[in-house]
Amino acid sequence: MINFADVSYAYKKNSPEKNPALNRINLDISEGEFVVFLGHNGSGKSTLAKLLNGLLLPSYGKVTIDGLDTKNPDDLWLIRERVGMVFQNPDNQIVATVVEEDVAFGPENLGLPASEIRTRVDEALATVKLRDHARREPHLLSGGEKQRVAIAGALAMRPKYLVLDEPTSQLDPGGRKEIKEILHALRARFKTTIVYITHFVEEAIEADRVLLLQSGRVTADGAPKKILSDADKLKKAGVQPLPMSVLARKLLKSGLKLPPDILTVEEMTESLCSLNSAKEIYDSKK
Amino acid sequence: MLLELQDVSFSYMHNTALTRQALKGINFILTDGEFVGLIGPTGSGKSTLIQHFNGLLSPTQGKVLIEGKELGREISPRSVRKIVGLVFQFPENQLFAETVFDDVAFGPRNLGFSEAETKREVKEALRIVGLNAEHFKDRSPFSLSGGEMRKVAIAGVLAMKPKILVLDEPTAGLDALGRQEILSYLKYLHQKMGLTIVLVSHNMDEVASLATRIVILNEGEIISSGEPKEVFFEAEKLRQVGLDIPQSAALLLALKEKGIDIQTNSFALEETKEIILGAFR
Repeated sequence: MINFADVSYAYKKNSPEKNPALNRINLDISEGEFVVFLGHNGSGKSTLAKLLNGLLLPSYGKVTIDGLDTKNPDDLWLIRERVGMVFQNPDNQIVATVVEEDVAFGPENLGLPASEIRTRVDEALATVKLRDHARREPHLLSGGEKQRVAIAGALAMRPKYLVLDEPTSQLDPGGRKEIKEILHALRARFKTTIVYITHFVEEAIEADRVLLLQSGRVTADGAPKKILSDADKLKKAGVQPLPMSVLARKLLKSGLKLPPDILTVEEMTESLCSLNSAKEIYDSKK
Repeated sequence: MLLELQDVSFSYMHNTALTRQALKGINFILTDGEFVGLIGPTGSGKSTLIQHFNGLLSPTQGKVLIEGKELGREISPRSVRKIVGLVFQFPENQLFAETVFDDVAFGPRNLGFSEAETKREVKEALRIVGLNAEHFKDRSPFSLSGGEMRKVAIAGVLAMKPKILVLDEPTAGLDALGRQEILSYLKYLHQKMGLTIVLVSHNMDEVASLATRIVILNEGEIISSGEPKEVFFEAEKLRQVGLDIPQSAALLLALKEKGIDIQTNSFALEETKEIILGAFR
């Protein structure tokens, strides 16, 4: 379990009370959960990610991973084995000149036997669908492919918790879908806990739980249906509500009897069609 | 016409064992005043294509014409850069100067603008991207927020007064507010300043609201080109190459598939609302 107990973080240490990036955060993330943190630039979401594996240490309060305190230097490497990180910009995370060597970097540092490293690298590359690119040079890959290399690098560590900080900001819808499928497969196969940080509302739809971050505080925490259909709250947090959610509100206002928590095109189609069949029955009875 | 590509092919590491063909026989014409949305999946050749627009890459085969002159023969890449301004992905990574002013002034100074002209253009460019020149000009670009850094980088290209502005994913990594800001000044540049714009993007809803023409690239070839209304309703073609269509368009198509008699030529939310009300009320 990941636990934040009254955690604040300020980048300017001498004035901790002035605009802390994170302000008294309390939360638990259970094993196996798929949690999405949603917030706009400057809401504190990347700071939160960096606190999860001790890249940053809380100015106040405590972050623990399975009871291990990130402030305890003796536990730090244990924590980093458990918490894998994928950042926004893959160029900053790729270290080697060949794709598979880059993916092997983490497991090599763990001092694993060569055969184990081979297995892990092949598996990680297969998971992100880059096996055919194993021998290519990372700088010749497209942005989306590079991001998948970065994810494979984290997967090769077989982390219990995987933290992804805006991993799809450079990918096209096809690439995003692939990442989504990869994450679902990971959960099904390894029960990996996923902490996913994004400002794209659509990426939160299939989460178990969504937390809205605004100016360093959690302003909403709950099931996607509940949080994502609250357009006012999302807008206040600087997050763009889903087009279908906006359309549903407009149609509701114009008198169509639709459920207020429609999020996807599929849900909208279904609701409108059932509305239509109700109307047909009504018309035929007239 | 402003810019024309005639049968352009391009291979990376041409004439080596590692050669990879990124563009195949591209024919593309950009006319004055257009706003072209260039879309395609990752690796489809979008970034390679736009680097041909100002001579950063030269075609392995075929020709690039700028205002009717062949690039590299009748017009030098250097002069082309006065006409075509290119904003790369994550342009904030290219900031380098000590002050915002010097960074934005780098381009115009290099093109031989006088100091007075440079000053005027820098101020104007910063104004367009929504930064107060007085407030920002002496600050270090590295002390700014990510969003502000991107604005400074875009201003650096605008200050060169290009006729054609080409932007590669200018909103990538920005949140809703940052995206809105960039899109609103692209609209301003196109409609009020008369710039011809090529916007490379993954975001269909974003492109749909701005572009006068959509060009779709897949595996180095143009597979579709036309008005947004035409292109976005070729849903199958788009999905096949891994692109989404705007959600409103997807909804109308889904309803039609369910046998509901409905128009399917809108992708703007307000218009879609009216169409649905018409069909369901």
